[in-house]
Amino acid sequence: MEITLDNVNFSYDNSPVLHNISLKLNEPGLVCIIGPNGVGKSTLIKCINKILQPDSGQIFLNNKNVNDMSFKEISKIIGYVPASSIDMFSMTVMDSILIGRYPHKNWSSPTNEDVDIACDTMEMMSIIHLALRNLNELSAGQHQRASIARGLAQLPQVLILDEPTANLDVRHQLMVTDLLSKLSHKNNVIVIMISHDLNIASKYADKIIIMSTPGVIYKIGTPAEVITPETMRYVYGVECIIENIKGHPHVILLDALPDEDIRKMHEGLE
Amino acid sequence: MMKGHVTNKISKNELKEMYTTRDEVSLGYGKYLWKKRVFIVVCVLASIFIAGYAVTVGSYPIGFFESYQIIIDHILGNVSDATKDLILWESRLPRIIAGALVGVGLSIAGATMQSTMKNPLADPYTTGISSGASFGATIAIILGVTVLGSSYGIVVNAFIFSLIPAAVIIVISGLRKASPTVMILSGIAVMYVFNALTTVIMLMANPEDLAAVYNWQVGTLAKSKWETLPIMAVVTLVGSIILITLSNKLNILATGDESAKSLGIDANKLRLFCLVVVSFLAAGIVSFTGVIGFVGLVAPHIARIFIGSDNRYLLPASAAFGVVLVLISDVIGRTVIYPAVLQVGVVTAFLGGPLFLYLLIKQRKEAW
Repeated sequence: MEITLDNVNFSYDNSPVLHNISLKLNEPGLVCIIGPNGVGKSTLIKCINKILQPDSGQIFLNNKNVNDMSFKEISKIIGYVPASSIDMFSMTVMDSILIGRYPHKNWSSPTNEDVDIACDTMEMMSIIHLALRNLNELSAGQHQRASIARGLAQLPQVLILDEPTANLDVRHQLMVTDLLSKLSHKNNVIVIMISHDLNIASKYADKIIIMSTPGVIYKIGTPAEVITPETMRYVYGVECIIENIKGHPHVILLDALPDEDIRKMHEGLE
Repeated sequence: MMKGHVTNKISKNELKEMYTTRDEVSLGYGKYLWKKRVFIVVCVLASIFIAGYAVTVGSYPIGFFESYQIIIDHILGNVSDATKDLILWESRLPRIIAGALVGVGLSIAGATMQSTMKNPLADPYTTGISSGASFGATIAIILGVTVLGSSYGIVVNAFIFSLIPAAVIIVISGLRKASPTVMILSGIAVMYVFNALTTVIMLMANPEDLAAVYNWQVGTLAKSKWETLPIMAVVTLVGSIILITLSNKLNILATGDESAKSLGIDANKLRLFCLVVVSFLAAGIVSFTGVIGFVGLVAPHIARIFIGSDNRYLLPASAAFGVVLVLISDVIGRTVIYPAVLQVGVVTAFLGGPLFLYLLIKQRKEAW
């Protein structure tokens, strides 16, 4: 599987968000996108599966331009788990996860195989005991795990997740990210997730993409290459110490830099 | 010590839930789907039973078994009492069939609108269909202006004008985007314009015409005729079948536009397509019966309380429950203040409103 972005630009009503993003991902593994609020992380991942259409630039899945692909074609390759969803009319967890099987079906109702796959993903997310509960009776974390299970039920070659651990307790943050990492290698899946937890990203990611203002990719590399005091200072405007814990860089935050210092730093580098 | 104390407090049900296996889940899910099917079958049987009873009820005294004897005689060509035959064949039967079509069509249209708009207040008229239809009927009744100068001038006017709001919404959605908010607000704007125009015309009307317009706006099954039923039936059945075949996609659309796209559905196109189908379906009914309210709003919600929001089951269940609601309301409307008749739309509100409130209070599972 290969994902290629070539000079992608995107703006919301003439407000530029992404600037000349070029990127190639062709190895299975966990890719974490990190960066401050508003740098276009979510916008970037939504462009990959055509939820958003870039102003210019091209996006290819296995050398096929996504513009030439239908939503159905894309959905057979890419699974997507949004940051949050509000279900006005609630369904059971099982029904909601079975929806993830839709890209592989046309008219037929869910088969026993679909139910088996849904059960597999619920077991992975430790929510099988909630299978027949309504989604809006769940906690935010349980709801989040049900959304991830739906994405997994798509059995995609690429799984994109927008802050999948945002509502989870610390144990489930570790469990879910660990599972996504293992799954990516075991099933040869490219898993792309947005995360605000630098240490979890550092511990589990094979590759980290760090974005900065104004909607550019600042650096791509292994956690050790990306998570450095200099990067943290420039991208996030924070002072920190990086310790090596069990072979992974671990960020210990110290201070937030004043706005003025950040502005001068960015102007100086430009 | 503390842990043991807490464990002792957990009930058997909670333990069962905590240690549910996948076999238990598969079995439980099968039972859960079975319950939904049973609800639909019960509603279908209830609607058949009520339709059968409704044939025997009316202002003219005809006995229960006598009613069926008259129907059989009519089919066999042995009409013995022309008056009773006329009442059954030309009044009650068309009225009951029209009522069933209204129940099916408006309920399925309402459930579809609620799903596609992600709005529990949506109904078949959310996009302004009723206001357009009322305006069309009003200018036909008061001004005598009809699109086609036939004996069905009011029906044709109502049908054509009821589609105008949907057309406006489609144009605006094309200029902006077909989001639920844009569509609902466009519908409301058009609705106010049509309502204002209708009011202006009604100010110029004489009392008889005003009464006719008012009757039309409340909606009635009393004008149902065999000649018009085939058109109504075709529109209702074709529209309903299309929407039921889309029910799986409606489930996906209800998860949100981004999720829908990522699962292979072009959310905006599907929403617009549903709007067109719902518009034709509702217009096909409203133009013959007038604006029968409440059924399209409340029948899907009551069905949802019993079987949840899975549109594959909700649409047929809403249709079956809608038929029950309309036919019971019509029977009550014809008998409760006999010899006068209460319009079916009024009774559906009287009957459905309290029932809905009761179910809202009593429901154990969250349907919304």
